[in-house]
Amino acid sequence: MNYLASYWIIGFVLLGAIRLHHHFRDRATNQWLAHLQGKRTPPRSRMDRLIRDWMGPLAILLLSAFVWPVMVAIWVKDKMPRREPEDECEEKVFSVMPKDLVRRWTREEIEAQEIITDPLSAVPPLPFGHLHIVWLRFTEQMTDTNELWSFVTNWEDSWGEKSHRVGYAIVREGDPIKFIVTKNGPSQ
Amino acid sequence: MTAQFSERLRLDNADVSLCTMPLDDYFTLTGNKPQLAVTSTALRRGYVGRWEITGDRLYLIGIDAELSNGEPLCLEMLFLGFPDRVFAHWYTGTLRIPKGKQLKYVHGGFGSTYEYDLFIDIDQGVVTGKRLQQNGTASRDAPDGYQVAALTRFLRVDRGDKS
Repeated sequence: MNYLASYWIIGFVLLGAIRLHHHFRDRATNQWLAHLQGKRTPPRSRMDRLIRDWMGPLAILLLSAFVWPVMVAIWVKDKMPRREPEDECEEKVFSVMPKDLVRRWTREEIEAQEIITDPLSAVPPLPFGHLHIVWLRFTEQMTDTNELWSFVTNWEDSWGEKSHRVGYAIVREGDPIKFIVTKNGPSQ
Repeated sequence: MTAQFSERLRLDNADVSLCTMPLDDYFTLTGNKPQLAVTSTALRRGYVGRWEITGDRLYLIGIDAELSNGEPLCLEMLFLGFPDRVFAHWYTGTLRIPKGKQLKYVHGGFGSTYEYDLFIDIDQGVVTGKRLQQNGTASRDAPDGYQVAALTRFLRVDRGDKS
């Protein structure tokens, strides 16, 4: 029983403290609001006054006496420094860096090396086999001043999945500007 | 999330479930995946590939899928001139073939676990290694083989113009 009484007393005291705090902090605002209300609100009935001046505050008082820990929790949360919302996680986009480049090749060397054969003839006898169209699209972007380089790199995507990627890059003045991945396997 | 239907693999004269999707790598490398109809929550990828390992090589020997216009997809549409068999030289990775009874059902992806996993390492379409991993012993009444417990089917709505 003592615990319950203490609980209620703390609630009443807290409510009183909050009321006083607001009274002194917002005095100017209150006066301005009272002035404004006095001008705009017509004279009220006795019942209106009873509800506003007695029943409303009493209901708040009783409710606060029961749920004051919630009010404290809300107040503490309000005072805590707010965490800025994290930026939307952007999906990482794979790219080839100059450090990934292995060696320079001619187009003819690559095409001779990347012919794929199969004893059951289940692949076209062309450079990169079923990926030949990808190679054609890639080489269409070459200009006379560009170079072809092979690359090897390990890549980790936005979900932390690691892979080992091999392919060729079009290089201009030392920088890879286009690439094709010809092997995407487990990380090594 | 819903558990996904597996791919099918013909291995040592038996059809087994394959919980790896080598064809997805092809779509990624080419940057071109056809618009497939998704008819079920258990088949988000829109297709079931039929695979075979012969002579230590991985082949795609069929595909069950529908294009978004309702037309059935066949291998020839993906690999011109190769209607029956395609050497999966683009694939490097490890195939997972669950075996035995179910240890734990996970209603998402290929997350369920089974008594054994057969892992087959593939390098550019060629088998480079195999290993069987034991994951535990299932209870006597546990379901046998790869399963999807529940799914939602999507109805096809004909959006053709009415005249």
